[in-house]
Amino acid sequence: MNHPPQHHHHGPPGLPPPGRFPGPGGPPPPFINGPPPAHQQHILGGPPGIPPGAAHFGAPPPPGTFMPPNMLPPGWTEHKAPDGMAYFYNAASGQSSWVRPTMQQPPMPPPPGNGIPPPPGMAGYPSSQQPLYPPGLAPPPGSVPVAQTSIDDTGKDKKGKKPKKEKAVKKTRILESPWFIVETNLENTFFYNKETKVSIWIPTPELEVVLAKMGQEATEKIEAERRARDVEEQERLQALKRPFETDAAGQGDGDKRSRNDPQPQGTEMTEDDVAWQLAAMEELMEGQDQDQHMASQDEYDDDEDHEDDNEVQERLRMLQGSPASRAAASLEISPDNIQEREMAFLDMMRERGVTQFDTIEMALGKVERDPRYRLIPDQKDKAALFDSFCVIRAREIKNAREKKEQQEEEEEKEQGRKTKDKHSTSSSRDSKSHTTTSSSSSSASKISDKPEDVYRRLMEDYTTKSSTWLDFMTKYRVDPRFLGLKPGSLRESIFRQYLSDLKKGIIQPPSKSSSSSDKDKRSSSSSSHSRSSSTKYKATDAEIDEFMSLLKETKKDILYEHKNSSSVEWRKIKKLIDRDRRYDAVGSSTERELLFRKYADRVIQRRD
Amino acid sequence: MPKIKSSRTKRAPEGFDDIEPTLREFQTKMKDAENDPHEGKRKIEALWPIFRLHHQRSRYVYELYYKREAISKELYEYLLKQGYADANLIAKWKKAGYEKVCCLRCIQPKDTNFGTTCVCRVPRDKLEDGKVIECIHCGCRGCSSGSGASAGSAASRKGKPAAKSDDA
Repeated sequence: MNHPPQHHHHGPPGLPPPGRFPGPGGPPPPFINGPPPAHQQHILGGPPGIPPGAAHFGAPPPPGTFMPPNMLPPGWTEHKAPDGMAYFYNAASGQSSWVRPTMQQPPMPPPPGNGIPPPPGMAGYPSSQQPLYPPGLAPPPGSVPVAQTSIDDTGKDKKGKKPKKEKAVKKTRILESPWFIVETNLENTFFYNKETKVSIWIPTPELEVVLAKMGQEATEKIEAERRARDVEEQERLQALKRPFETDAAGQGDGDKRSRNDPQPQGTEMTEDDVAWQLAAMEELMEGQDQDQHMASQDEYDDDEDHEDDNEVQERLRMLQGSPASRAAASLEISPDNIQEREMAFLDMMRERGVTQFDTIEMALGKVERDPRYRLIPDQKDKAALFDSFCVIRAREIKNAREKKEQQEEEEEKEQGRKTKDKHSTSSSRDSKSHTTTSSSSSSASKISDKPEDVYRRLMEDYTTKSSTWLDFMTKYRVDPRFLGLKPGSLRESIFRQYLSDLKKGIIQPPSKSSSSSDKDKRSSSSSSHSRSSSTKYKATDAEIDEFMSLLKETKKDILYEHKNSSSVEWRKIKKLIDRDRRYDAVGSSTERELLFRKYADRVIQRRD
Repeated sequence: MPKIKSSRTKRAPEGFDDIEPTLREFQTKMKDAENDPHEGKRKIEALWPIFRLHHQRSRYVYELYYKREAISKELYEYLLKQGYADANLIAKWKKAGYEKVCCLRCIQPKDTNFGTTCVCRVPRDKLEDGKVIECIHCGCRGCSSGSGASAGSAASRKGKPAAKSDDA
């Protein structure tokens, strides 16, 4: 029976009152024989009830859909929450759940196509009980917030979404009828009759017929195009074959082939290629009809492409077997050059936006429509190519990022930032954010905001070789710079690391620290007044070398002393050298003496 | 399964957002598999999708880090810690001869009557032709490295066909 689309609210009992958009889940359809019964179980959108997470979008199913593999029990629809998770909503009971509901009883057999009322709580057709809409517009956006707020107390988490003004984006006329297919910016698609000013989600049966016709015409057009393309390819293939035919031997004659061949040829032919060539030649000999037959079969396969598993289709092609069909699919790229095929495959993946984060199924899904997909017939090869593609992509992206960082760093240097920032380990660990933060903080006073750098500077200012963690901590633990570094355990470890580096001489203490002031002090006061607590100071190798060089100059004096008195006195030598700058290189006086002793002994021994 | 993000968990390292949608998808599939009714399946067969998805998910992370080098060490270790991949299973994949092992149960000799590994570990050519084996632990149809299996084949071979029909 044919309900006029206006009387939407004559639904079965147990429905929400009419005029309430979106109407939780939407009521069952007013007409049953319209869309095929499979629709009732179809996973669809359409303005549903409010999910455990608000917002909706939907599209009425295209005519003639197939039964999805996982069927929901009657009354349930699947929708997508804004954060990406899918949730399920039961129109009748108003339940929304994150868990996919399982079928309690076997699904209803599809009702025959005459006015049998649908069982209660049938899967929702989006709000057929909506009032008439103003021409050309989808259900008024104004009612969306109303529905949202009213269902707000279901107790589930909600993310409020500001209602976007729904506007029609595209209107396609259905041939020779007043009906239009309207697509809106909120991804809704509905049918609109310009004459009667009716908008419906689901087409009436007569509309169905018209739509089917339209679909047919479209497919016919596509088919015609394909046929034309195939014919073109055949001709091109023959052009390829002809030069080969003339040269019967053909083996290893890659040069001749490449000369004749207008398309780019990479490497010379391998044995596989030769075998392929011979086979192709045979095929051609058998006649054009064979090829035509193959081509038409290809077309037939492609029509089913949408519904068949692509893998199965691939195998079909393989089984049909002829390299001619494979050649027909390979377009311009000559099929016997494997490297070129691989390159084309990789290019295709790049163009289609395959990322290195895709699983192989996702990647193949993105790519399978492209004609170059068929260049590599073997599934395993495809997988291998995809893997290598991912590696290449990852490397490319890394290189690009590094280059960008280098550029940014250079810019900073030009702006005259302190080198201290770059020495901080955070730059190596987290260079991206580091550069962005330092570039953002432009003023010269705030060179680095990161708590770690601040802490470091605090450390460097107040630490000398003789500091301890305990002293440092007790003194500065109330300092905001100290506290800025969040995990407390880090503070000690960084401090200890810094201290050990200082002692080893890896990091020179910053110029502000005591060494220079000490030098000044020492020059004024007596020479022995060096940094106290000499046990803490172990001179670095560099410092020792300096002192040794100084000592070497005293060699003569040592020998002289030794000649006069059997023992060389440090006291006397010391007086000679203590004005020298290098004397202070070694901090500890006991160490100086030790070094001197060793050196003196060596000198005497050598002399002897 | 420490995958629930609370205020105590550390922030995910950079690069997590790129893989997040795929991981999310795995999560939903896993949930579906867990909540599937047991009608029409054997008692052990009901568990096979779980094993399969677990393998797939760990495989994904393994490939991202070791094969494609698309994620950083930091992110990889974060994923392992948070339970997005099985570290023990990945450890097996790094060994020679175990590159495609389906699950940890199938290589455990204590689980079999004769102290061997599961039948799915037998290479395809050693097995008599025509027999399609589905191992009892995880429904695997052959996970030896030389059995002509490609990456994710344990996934694509085990149980029902995979993501494509689910995504339809």
